Parts: sequence; structure tokens; C-alpha cells
Amino acid sequence: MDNIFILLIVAMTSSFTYLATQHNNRARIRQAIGPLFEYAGMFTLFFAANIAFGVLIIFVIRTFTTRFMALYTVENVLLLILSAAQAFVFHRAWKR
Amino acid sequence: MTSPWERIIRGLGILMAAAFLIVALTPVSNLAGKTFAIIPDRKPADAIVVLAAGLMNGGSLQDESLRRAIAGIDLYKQELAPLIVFSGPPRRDDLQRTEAEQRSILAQNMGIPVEAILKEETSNTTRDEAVRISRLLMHRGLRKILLVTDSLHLRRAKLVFESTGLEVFPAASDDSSVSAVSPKDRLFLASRVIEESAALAYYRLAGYF
Repeated sequence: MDNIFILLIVAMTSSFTYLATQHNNRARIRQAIGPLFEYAGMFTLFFAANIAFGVLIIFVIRTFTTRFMALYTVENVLLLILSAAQAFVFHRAWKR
Repeated sequence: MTSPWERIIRGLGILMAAAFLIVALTPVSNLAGKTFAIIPDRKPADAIVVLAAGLMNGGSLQDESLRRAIAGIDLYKQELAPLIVFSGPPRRDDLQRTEAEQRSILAQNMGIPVEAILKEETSNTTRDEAVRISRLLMHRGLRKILLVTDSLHLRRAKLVFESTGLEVFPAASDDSSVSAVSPKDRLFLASRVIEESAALAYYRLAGYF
């Protein structure tokens, strides 16, 4: 029930904004849905690559030094946010 | 005209968006968690082993560490074993206090005699915990343990402790497949299932069990 409430809020603000937008700009809003999924795909690739690279570096550190580094180190919200930023920047650059 | 590369990226995005909605809004991660977790088997044993989960900055126990410690203390109070082993190293930035010591203090404050408590304060991984705690217990002629950790970690922990020669009775400190109901908790549960599946595969490949 809580989830439906949240989805309804988002659906309503999206609908209001769409209706408030000038008619000739509405097509551009519909066209922006495709790039949204491209952005999501880019984010997925960067996030997976960052995790894989992080795990690789941790194994290298564990193998070649006496220092212990937990694999849980990559379980950091910063990695999520920075991956999103990477995806945004590279997606923008790619589309220009 | 979209390029093949654009179509692949867009397809991946659609797939991830769909996966995100399914995981966040349906009980699919609860089902995965339930399948992954193993059924508790609380029986009388020689010792209760409580695995580490970390200290917060300042020396307080992390929520999960506290939950496991309380579950271990509860098993002791039910007289399922005469000895309790607390595991947990110090934080890297504060070597004075160990997690095992903080848990030991808590247990003593809750009425467990100091002679019924053992500490393992040096292990950084589940495998290290298994090897060192097994040595500690076998040295005393103890072989049967009640293993306390979270329900998703329990599968890997049980296998690696059994590989050291101990008989393990699993005693989960939680049931995350039932408790995760909000989208945030479900996404976290799904990430934990993926994480533990990867760790299980790694332990198998490394020949730890």
C-alpha cells in the first residue's frame, strides 16, 4: 500500500508537469524516455565496472602486501553516486 | 537512426529498470533470501560461536554485531552450551578496543560469567574465524558448536566451519527474508543475496570447503 502511494505521487507530479508543458514541447518529453534508459544502461555498466575493478585491486593488495582490506569496502554508497555521475557525464558527451 | 551500441545500452537500461522495480516492489528478493538461508537447528552443543560483524567509530557495536551477540547470549541463557566464543577484531583506526571485547563486556553485564567467555580478536575473514576458533575449541576437546551469524551469511559460515572438523548447528540471528518489506530493505536483501552467492563461489573456487 505504501509503495502504491509513492508511485501515485510520482505519477501525479509527472502528469501535472506534462500537462503544464507547452504542447509543442510534449513530444520532447516523450523522446527523453529513450535516453533515460540509455542513461540507466550506462550507469549499470559503470557501476559493474567500478565494483569489478575495486574487487581486483583489493585482491592485488591482499596478495602482494601484508595489509588486509575487506571486500565490503566496495559496498559504499559513494560508489553508487559516483557511478551515476560518471554515467551522466559520459552519456552527455556521447550524445553530443 | 539508433546505432547497435545505443540499442544495447538502452536494452540494458530497460532490463535494469525492470529488475529494480521487480526487486523493490515484489517479494522476489524475500523468496531468494528464504531459499538462500538455511533452517536453524538449535541443539545442545559444546560452545556457542558468535561471528564478527564490526564496530562503529567510537567503539559501539554495529547493529548486526549487537543482534548476533544478543542471539548468542540468549542461547547461553537457554543453557544450550556452557561456553560462548565472541569473535571480532578492532577497527583499523582504533586498535585499543576489539569487537570481541565489547561483546564480552556486554555479556558479563547480562550475567554471563567471565570464565564462560572466550574471545577471538584477530580474524578478518570468515575463513580466518573458522580456522582460529576451531583451533581454540579443539584444543579444549570441544567439537559441537552453535554457530550464530545472520541468516544469509550462515550458509557459507557453516560450510567453512564444518571443513575444519567441527559439527555445526546453525543458529541465525535474524530472518531477513521475512523482515524485509520496504523497497529499501528488499533492495538491500537482494544485494546481500548476490554478495553472499559471489562469496560462496569464491570460497568454493579457493578450496576453503
